[in-house]
Amino acid sequence: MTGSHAAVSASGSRRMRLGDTAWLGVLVIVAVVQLVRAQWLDAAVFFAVASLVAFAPRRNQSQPGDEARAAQWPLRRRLVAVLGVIFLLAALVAPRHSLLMQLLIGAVGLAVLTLAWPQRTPDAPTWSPGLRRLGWAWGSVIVIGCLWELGQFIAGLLHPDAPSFALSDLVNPLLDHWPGLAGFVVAWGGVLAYLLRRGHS
Amino acid sequence: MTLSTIVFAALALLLLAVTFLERRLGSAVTVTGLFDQLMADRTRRISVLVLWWWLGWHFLAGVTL
Repeated sequence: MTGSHAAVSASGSRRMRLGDTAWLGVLVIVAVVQLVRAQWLDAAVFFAVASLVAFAPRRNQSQPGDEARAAQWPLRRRLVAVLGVIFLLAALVAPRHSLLMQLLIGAVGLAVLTLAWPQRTPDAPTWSPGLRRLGWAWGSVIVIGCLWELGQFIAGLLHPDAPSFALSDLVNPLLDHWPGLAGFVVAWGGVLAYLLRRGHS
Repeated sequence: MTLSTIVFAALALLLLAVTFLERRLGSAVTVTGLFDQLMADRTRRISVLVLWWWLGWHFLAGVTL
């Protein structure tokens, strides 16, 4: 999952690993697909995040301040919880695709990026064989789902009048009614909070 | 039941199945352990988060075609 280890400079920074490049490739591919969909803002977000990640310094050694930053995590978690509750309440009443909803979701994205950006302890544990297998299995299933979506999108371009079997056609009818929308908001926000809590040693 | 329901239900079941199989193999791995490992690195962490965030943006906020 992480690829080969790269050289470490005297300052403790390291060059990009093969695994890093693969993840950046994923972001760039998604950005290109958004361009094809004529979703310029979505494409810009993915290109911007890919650029941020590509050019951010990487470290292989602990540096002064790491412990202090790690100690701030409980405070950040409380901040996330408060923001999360505010967001959930607002998103439950904001109309889908409205400017208010766009501002809400955009603000959530910025908050998530801010909370997730700080470098954590660089001494990440190595991948056990079981974790590696599970990671590849999950990754493969998710890639299959993405390829299905891409296929449905391409089929929709080629045959606009034919029925589509994309995820949107499954989810959108659910979101047209408040219980479905509320369930989606809670589930999406819940997974976001779960992901933000992961990876702390 | 539409084809999309079948496909995505099958994918969800597949995720559960591979997780269950891995546990049966005797390794003490969990999905939380997988994401703890995955999210420890900033490149992976930011990538996963922006991809999940975009899913919410797409269904809740983004301009639809």
